[in-house]
Amino acid sequence: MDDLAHVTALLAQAHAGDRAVWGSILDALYPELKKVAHAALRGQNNRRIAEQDLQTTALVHEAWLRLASRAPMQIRDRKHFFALASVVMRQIVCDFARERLAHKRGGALWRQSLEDSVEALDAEQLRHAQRFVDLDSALAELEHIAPRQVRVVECRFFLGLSDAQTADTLNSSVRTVRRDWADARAWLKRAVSV
Amino acid sequence: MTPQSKLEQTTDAISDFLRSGGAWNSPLLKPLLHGAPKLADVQIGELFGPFRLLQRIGQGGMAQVFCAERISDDFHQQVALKILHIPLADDPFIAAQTAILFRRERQILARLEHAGIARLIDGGLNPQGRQWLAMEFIDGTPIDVYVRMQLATPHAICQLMLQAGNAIEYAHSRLAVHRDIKPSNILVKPDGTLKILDFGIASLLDDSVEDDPALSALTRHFASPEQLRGEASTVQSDVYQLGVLMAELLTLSPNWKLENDPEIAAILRRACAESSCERYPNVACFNADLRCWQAHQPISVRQASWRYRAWCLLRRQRVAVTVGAVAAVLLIAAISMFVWQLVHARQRAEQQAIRAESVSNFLVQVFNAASPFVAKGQTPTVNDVLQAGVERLDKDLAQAPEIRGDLYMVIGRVHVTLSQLDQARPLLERSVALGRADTTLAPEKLAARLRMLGVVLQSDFQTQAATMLLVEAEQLLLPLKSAAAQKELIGLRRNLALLKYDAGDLVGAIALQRASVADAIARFGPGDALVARGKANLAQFLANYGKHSEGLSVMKDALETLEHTLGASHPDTMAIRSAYASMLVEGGDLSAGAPLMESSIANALAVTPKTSPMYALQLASRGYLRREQGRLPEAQTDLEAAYQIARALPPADDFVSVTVLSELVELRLAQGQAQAAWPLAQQMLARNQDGHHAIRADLGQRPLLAAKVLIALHRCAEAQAYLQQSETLMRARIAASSRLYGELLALRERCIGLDQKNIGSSDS
Repeated sequence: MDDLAHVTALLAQAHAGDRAVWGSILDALYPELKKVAHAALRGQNNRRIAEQDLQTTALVHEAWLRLASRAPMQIRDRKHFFALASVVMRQIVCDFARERLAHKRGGALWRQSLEDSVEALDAEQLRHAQRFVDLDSALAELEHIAPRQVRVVECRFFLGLSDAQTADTLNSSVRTVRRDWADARAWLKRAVSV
Repeated sequence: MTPQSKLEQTTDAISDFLRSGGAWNSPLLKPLLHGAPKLADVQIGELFGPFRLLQRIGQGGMAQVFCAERISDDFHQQVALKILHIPLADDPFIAAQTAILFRRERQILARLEHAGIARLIDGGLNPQGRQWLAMEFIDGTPIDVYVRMQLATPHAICQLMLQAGNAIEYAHSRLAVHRDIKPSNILVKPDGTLKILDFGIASLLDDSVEDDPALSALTRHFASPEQLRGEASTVQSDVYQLGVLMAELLTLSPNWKLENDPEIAAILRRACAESSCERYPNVACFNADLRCWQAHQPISVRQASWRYRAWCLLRRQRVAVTVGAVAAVLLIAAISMFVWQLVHARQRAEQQAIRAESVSNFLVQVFNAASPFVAKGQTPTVNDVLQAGVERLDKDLAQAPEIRGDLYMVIGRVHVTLSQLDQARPLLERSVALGRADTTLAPEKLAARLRMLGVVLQSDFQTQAATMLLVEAEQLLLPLKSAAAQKELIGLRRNLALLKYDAGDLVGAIALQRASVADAIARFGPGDALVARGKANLAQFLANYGKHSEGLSVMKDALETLEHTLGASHPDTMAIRSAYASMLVEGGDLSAGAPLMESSIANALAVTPKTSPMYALQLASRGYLRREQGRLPEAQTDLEAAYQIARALPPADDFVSVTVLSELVELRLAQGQAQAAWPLAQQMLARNQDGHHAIRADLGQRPLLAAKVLIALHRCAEAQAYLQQSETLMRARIAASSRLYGELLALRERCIGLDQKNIGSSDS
């Protein structure tokens, strides 16, 4: 926890105008983000840690780049960082899903290739891509009705935080987070039908 | 599937999707997780080996594909260059191992030179550590597009399938399994010939990229059931995929309907059978049926199935030579049988465990492909592969004792099938040790490991140690109620009975086997194959105990049971028929035994590769029969042919050459050429040394044979030493087979008789 307290302190410094501190913050938070990703991936399967590491690196890196490209001033503290990370994750994943679908509709040019590729039109992937796109628009609707639930979905589903971490990030109670999560899932299940 | 259950499944899938961290676990993210950013730095014009990237032509979750050209003034060569996204691990050891395996696989691919296979031209690692492959560039159309465009008839499709099948059959003979046959991997060129792409590349990738079909789901539609279960791909997975491909293409053919074509339906059903056992055993058989269908000949689904079964038979009953030592044959047959059963048991229980996600299916596949039965007698660098596998296991799976134990067992089993018992043993010992230490391991699994190790020790005549292991396994299985465990228990007791027999307790062996047969009848009925196998064991014990006629009748009973329940061409039936025939011949009943033995050998010869050890043994077996029949010139032809094969075998297969040599010695004796027999006997003895494989099956019959030759040459003093050696072996290893021991006593007497005669003649 010392590390995290340290990060929060650094953020305060950066916030106060010390831009040089920003690099240290990145260094300190990057492993945090990876830890969260690992936990999410470990959720249901027991893959080797090394392999997880390989898998998560790229995505975390992408999320990181998007976060880092924001002005440091926008990130207030560690909680805020995770809240932003969850939104960024939603953006990355849903953009990716839309890209996939667009690629498919664009008429897949056949190419000599290993072909397990985008052009392979893998049904399972496409179904998931559709799910994410549906989910994204369902969340956009939900935003009008219950924005707090959307934040919970971003933290829990997209970033993979636990309910305790989510409660902490959103300045809420664990019980509220659980209720929001259950309500949101019930609502989204109807929206995501494929 | 009913619509209702389909709906439920969908709802479940959504709940599963919308769970904590669900986004990370979606297959959609797999390419994203696998390092897309790492690819961004590949530039047009960049060099990979001698190739310059010209243009990107594709990208996927596993590789980017470029059109590239060789930089050379001499000639122009265009290639499809694939840059794999295998992220090399940070750990330099893993990186080095990956590179080694990559290189090895590339060597296999490089050996594929066939008109129907896009050639691997080159491959390597670029300075950034990225692995690349340069493949022949093919200008063609995917087969499904081609079929649709050409409005191909079923016959034209069949012709294309045969082309593809031939190429794949060729690759199988070179140890490469495709694993990912689908329309886009088969290109038809404008001239109508086709090329298969990406041979074995899937397996190459699977080593580093997790091969979880549920996640990758790339070509689920074409994946075989065992692939979907995450098991190793085999030759038969390719058969399955060819079947699915053909079905797919036929549906594109105008006006074609499956129900109007029962023969094609039968062929496809067989090719796509759920259980790989029921499929065509190899692509050649699939092709053969396609050709028959094309030529309007009756398709040979039945015949093919018989061939496969006969092939299975050979795998177990690989030592069917009756050199007077039934017990040795019995023992070795029991081991092979056990191995064979294990292979099948895997489909049920064991594979479930091996399926565990962190197991590298690539390794398992390499092991399986290296088995000489899959590779048709070719075993290139199998030891290297296995050794690399073990090293990898130790490093990579240190944290996963159960999987490690499973894989030690897998590698150990491959060694057993290669008759490399010495290599198998330490691995199986480790597997057992891991199993004993793991309190969460299923008892039947530990029992299987114990049994495997026990059988290996048994074949090394370490009777006591083997017995302890098997008793330990028995204790584990006793409380289990499942039918599988009960069957395993009955099989285990068959091994235990054999051990008693080895330890010299023939009476105990008979009692145990009788009880176990009775038990099997009570649980599974008299018609079960288990009962018949037990009876076959019992019959051979009885015959060796001197109750030859009871043994014969029990064996006959077993045979009839199997013919009735499993059919005459089932491998179990054939194994027991062959044992029965041998018993008849050994008992002197040539008129009944010879035709049976003759036909069983003929069947075996018909399905065995002509340079394999099994072929040599079957020839030796026929040589023996001919000698018994007094057809000495024919016996000589067979044995000489067998000897040619045996001599070309690797030294590890000395069992075959020793067996063939001993038959040759017997033949020379029968021909009255004792002088010519002696050098052969010496050769036989020279190979029959401690530490070699052959001597494991020596129950004293070989020194005995040497003594026989020497006595025929009237060199009794020398013969005595061999007689002594023979007696020691008999006593040490086995409840001396009464037949062998009788022969020993007779030779002793003969020796004494000759000595007296010599003394008499020198006196005069």
